[in-house]
Amino acid sequence: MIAPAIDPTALKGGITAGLQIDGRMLSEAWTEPAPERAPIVDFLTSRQGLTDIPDLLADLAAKGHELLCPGSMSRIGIGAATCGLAAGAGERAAVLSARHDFANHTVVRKVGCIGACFCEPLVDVRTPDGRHYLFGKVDKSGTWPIIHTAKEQRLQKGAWLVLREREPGFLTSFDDLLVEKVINHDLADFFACQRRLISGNCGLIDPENLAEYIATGGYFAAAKALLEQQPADLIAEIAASGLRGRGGGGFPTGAKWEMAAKTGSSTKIVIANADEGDPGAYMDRTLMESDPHRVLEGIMLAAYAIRVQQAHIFIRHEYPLAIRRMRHAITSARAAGLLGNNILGSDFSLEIGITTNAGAFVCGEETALLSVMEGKRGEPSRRPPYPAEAGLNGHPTVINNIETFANVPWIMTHGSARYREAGTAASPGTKIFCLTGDVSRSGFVEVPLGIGVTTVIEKIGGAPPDPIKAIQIGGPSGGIVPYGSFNLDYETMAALGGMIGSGGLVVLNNACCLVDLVQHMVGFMADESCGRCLICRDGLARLEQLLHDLTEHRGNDATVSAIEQLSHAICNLSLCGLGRSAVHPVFTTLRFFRQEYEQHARGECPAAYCSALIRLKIVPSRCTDNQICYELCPQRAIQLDPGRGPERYRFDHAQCTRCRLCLDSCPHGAIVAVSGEDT
Amino acid sequence: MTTFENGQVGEIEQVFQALAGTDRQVVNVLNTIQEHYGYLPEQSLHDVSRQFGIPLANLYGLVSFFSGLRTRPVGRNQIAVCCGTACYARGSEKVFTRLKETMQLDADGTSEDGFVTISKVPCVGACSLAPVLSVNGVLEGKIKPLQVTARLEELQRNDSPSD
Repeated sequence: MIAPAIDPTALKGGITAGLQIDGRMLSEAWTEPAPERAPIVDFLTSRQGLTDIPDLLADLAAKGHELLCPGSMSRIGIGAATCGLAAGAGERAAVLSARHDFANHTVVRKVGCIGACFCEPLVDVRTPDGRHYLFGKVDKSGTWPIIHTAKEQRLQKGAWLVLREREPGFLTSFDDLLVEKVINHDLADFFACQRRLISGNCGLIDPENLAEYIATGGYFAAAKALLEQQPADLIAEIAASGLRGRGGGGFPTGAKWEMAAKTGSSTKIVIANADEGDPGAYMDRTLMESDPHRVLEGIMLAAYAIRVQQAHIFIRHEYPLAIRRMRHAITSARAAGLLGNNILGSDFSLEIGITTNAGAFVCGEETALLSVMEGKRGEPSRRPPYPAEAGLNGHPTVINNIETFANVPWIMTHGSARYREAGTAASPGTKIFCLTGDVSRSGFVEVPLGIGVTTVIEKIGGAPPDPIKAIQIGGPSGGIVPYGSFNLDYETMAALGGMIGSGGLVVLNNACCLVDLVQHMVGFMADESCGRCLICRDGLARLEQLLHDLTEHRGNDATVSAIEQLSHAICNLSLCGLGRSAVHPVFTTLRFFRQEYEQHARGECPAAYCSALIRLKIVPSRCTDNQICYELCPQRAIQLDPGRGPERYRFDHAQCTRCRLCLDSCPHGAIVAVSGEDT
Repeated sequence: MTTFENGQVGEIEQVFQALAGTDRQVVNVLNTIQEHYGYLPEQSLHDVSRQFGIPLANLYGLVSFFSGLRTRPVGRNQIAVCCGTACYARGSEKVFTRLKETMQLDADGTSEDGFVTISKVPCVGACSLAPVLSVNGVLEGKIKPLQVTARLEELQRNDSPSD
């Protein structure tokens, strides 16, 4: 919430205090106005190169700074984004917030997600000396060390990592923190290779507090743009940075803005695409939940650059918390005068609205998105004209992804040259990836583009116990590529036949059946096809059926070639990106893992996953005769003979449905799945 | 949020008025109604059709397009199994099958006694906790098929059919 008017004594102490204490000092104070800025304001002003900082921002920055880096109190920040809440952050927050003994020395705040989802719930304790103690996997019993750390302001057993602010008392990004002590290497390694330009505030600031965002330099770029720069300056800076659309296409953002800015239309629109439907990707969700004002500021800068007065955020309904936080951010920004008419006294006005999608993957495609906003079914339409020329209701419309917008304030603050220091010449900057699957440290990571995939997966994600077979990258329309030493940038991925997409990175080990996974993805795309193109609607359904035949032991070599032919037809004849890219997983697996298809055609599943192609069997040497499998089997497929020992277990393969309950429940791993008829 | 009165045309106008000017799209109105009732009652669709001047047939076409909109009531509890890539690779399909086999569901995924509606959701964005279950809107991570029966029993203990 927006705090009540700021107590002026806190900000301009000398003058106002003088007024109150002694009337005679009044004239002296007024003749010599030396408004004393809070140090944080001077710091931010000099970094931004602003000549005249608006009072509104100065006041809020000082207030936010006192909240973010309290000088006399400890601050406990509990990671309360969706992933944290699912892991129990809400209960921990309730317990810690209810402590009356914190009254004078500790404040408890809910913050966003720092990205280390693998150790949620994650709690950050900041002590007044500028040290941050991070506690991972905080369970019920784990709250005591946190309480002690906050009270005694020194390291307690249970912390994972101690970080120190470069300049104690100044915290404007994750980059301001240095590792001081590593207690649990997991967390230190997770952060080691990251560059957190865009997600630097995530997990540090309270996403529902505007002042805290401003204290990190938030809205200074917007203020500078509105008060001191021309729209063309912004477009030139973004173009110079080489920023490419982070939604998947990788189209140069500056060029897109330029195209819309050039149109003569009086009404133009900016849309932030937060319909992040790619399974396995959640960077937009995390950004919106952890740092919503950065997204708003990015939208505001784009709107100013293109001279737009109306912007929309299009969010999928599966993200209720993100919707709530974005709504809250819009309300706060408007209440503070950072949205609405004549922002910061300039002649620029902007309204931002939220449209909630109701569940359709195809709406991530920009022409389909526009159809929904016009009250129609989300069916894509043919381009050109591109939305930048004729979009929502015929007006020129710039549609960018949430992450793209989140890049903009950083670029405008630090300049395009510094932005280009990260990444490659053709793919500058950093990219957020969501690292999940069979990896020990999964989470939300921001790395320079062009980084080696092995660095991301092994150094950040931690080498998994089982060998990695493949990586699924870029969502269901991305690809499945063999694990190896390639770089993560737009060009390399295109050469491999995949795409970075929105940045999902799912690590798959040998226990994963690729044919089955491809069937699942094609099935998902078939469900999500809008039905407009026959080949996409029926072709994908037929493709799923053919893949299903393989996993159900009904396929042969002809099935594999039919899959290949049909995939080419779908790719060539579909109108929009959904159909054209839906077959990417098929193409990439056929290219790199063709033998898996052929094995399925012969009735084998190398991963021992597909129910119709496997048998379960008992390994007598591991069995301890504890009967769990016998008791749990819903089919009575495991039979017990009289006597003792592993020999008395018998599998009735005809009864067994391969539900794997026995396999999952056996504490000794005495039941295994084997491929083919081998029992 | 908007308070709904009797099922008159007025309520749709109320929803419409309560939305900020930039938010007044059909899909937002439909979502708001569904948030309130759990589904879209027939009357409300007639009202939306009138308010927006969209022929009723087209509106039904729109509603059926979205997987998140329902025209029939849901159960007292709602369980959604996340079927994103990470969840699928970690066995969410088996969790779903187990749920489906445990309960007797109709074509809409609702049990006959109205106790629960079970559905799949493409991705809830909590991939690090895969496989994920959303139980009445609250996410629960790292679910194993084994735990499903106990979880349903727990829900059943807290369930009162009279509600």
